[in-house]
Amino acid sequence: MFQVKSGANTAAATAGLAAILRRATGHVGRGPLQRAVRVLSVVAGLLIWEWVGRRAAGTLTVPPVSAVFKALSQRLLDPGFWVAAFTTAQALVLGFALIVVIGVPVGLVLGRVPVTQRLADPYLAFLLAVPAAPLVPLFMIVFGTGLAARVATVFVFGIAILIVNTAAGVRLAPFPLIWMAESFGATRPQVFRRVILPAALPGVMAGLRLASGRAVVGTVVSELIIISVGLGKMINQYSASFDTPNLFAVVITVLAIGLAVARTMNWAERKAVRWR
Amino acid sequence: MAVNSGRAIEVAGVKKSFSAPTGAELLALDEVSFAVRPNEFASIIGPSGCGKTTLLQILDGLLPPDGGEILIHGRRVVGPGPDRAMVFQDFALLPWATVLSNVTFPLDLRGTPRAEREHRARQVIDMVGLAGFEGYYPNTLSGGMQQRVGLARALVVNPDTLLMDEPFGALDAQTRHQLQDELLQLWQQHPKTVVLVTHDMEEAVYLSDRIFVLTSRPGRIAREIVVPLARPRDVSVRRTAAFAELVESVWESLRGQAGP
Repeated sequence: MFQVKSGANTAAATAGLAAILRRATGHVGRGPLQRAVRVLSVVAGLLIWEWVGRRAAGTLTVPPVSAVFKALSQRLLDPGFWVAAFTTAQALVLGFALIVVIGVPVGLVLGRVPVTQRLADPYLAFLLAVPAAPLVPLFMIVFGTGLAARVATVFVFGIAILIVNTAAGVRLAPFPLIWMAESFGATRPQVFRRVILPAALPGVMAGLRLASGRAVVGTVVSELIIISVGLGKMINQYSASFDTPNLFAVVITVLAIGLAVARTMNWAERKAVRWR
Repeated sequence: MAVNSGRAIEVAGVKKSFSAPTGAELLALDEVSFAVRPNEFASIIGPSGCGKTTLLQILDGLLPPDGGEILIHGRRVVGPGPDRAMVFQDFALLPWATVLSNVTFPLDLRGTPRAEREHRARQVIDMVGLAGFEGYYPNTLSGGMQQRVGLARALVVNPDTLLMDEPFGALDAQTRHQLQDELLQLWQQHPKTVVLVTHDMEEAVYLSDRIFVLTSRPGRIAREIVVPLARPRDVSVRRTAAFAELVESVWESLRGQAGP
């Protein structure tokens, strides 16, 4: 009836936000009907694409979907394609690992020590508000055109959102729970490990999911506009030679990588905060 | 210890002030003194904002008093201790932990071996009537069940003194009555020293041996009301004339205390 739950408002707000984010990243519903509607939508999209592609035959603009999948199956047998995919994945994985290793501890500190938060705020605001792409040429000057520059790009794209979400998660740790732990004799490290860290986990997981999406964007941007390697280089080459079926095949591969990363992070987030 | 054997808790001249955002000092508790006997059920009642919760937090050792001292079994309180356990108004359960993990939490902090802490937790979970709910998360339980978990968590450390901060204040009337009955039965079977902070007059009379009425701003003990209702009590006592008179006398003491 009139049951008041501790922090109900914040919890509801965060849960609501999480639901919106989940919806935005593709988990609308799990029923068979919803599934059928989604499959239907994809099939209809592919049919329209095929139709438009055939109508536009010879104009080099939109290839029919059948030609794209033929190109894709050829690419999947091409060792050069796998080398390119590996090169791309390398920067993504290394960059994201660096984001996690640095972003989580920094976020924890910012959440715990208000003065560090104020010190970092202008830089975080800058990184969040400004597109990071213009920074890529700077990294080329500092790191050259190798893997390091691409990893740095991925890092800069994703780091701020993880730090901000982790710090917000830490600040969400409810005071009554901290008092409760202290009342039962918890030491400061115990309070941190047993209350503040678990309370921050939803924020950390949301930060990881958002950072992973930005990391994928950073990977593609670095390869596409400046440092032409990996799948980005393939996109540039096929684009320059108007080989649209192959161009679309590589683009689809990049999209698939992005989708796989998003799905994995969604799954990890649900596993980690299943008490919600 | 022997000298104080008649006094489980002794509160002597406790003062506490807070600085208001304006910079002014706000005297929350002024020369609060009282004593509680071993295994006595004592209540502190007063209007909101009178410093009841602050007083309880000082008893628990979470807050240091600005003046005066608190002796528990003759020992001065300098911080939280294993002889006391608190039940919180808003339950203060860990939302990411199951009922069992919430109850074992105080024992985890002390490094009690897993088998022992789970054994003890299951015992108290059974005592508060939550057997079968060990694997549930708090947000799947009703408010009444959540506070049972809070009570089990306090009992699991087997404290000499139970400190209860408006434990049923967040519950609906029906659940509140039910939990009061259960607390009464539990306490009559396993006596402990209890200090209950409440603003519910009937709750104070129903459960307590003695009621201390606290004034507001600054908080002072205005009156001590002995509750002579026979033990063991049960629900039927609520319908007696003596019960009604006691509630009336608590009401009389509270009247005029409520701030502007």
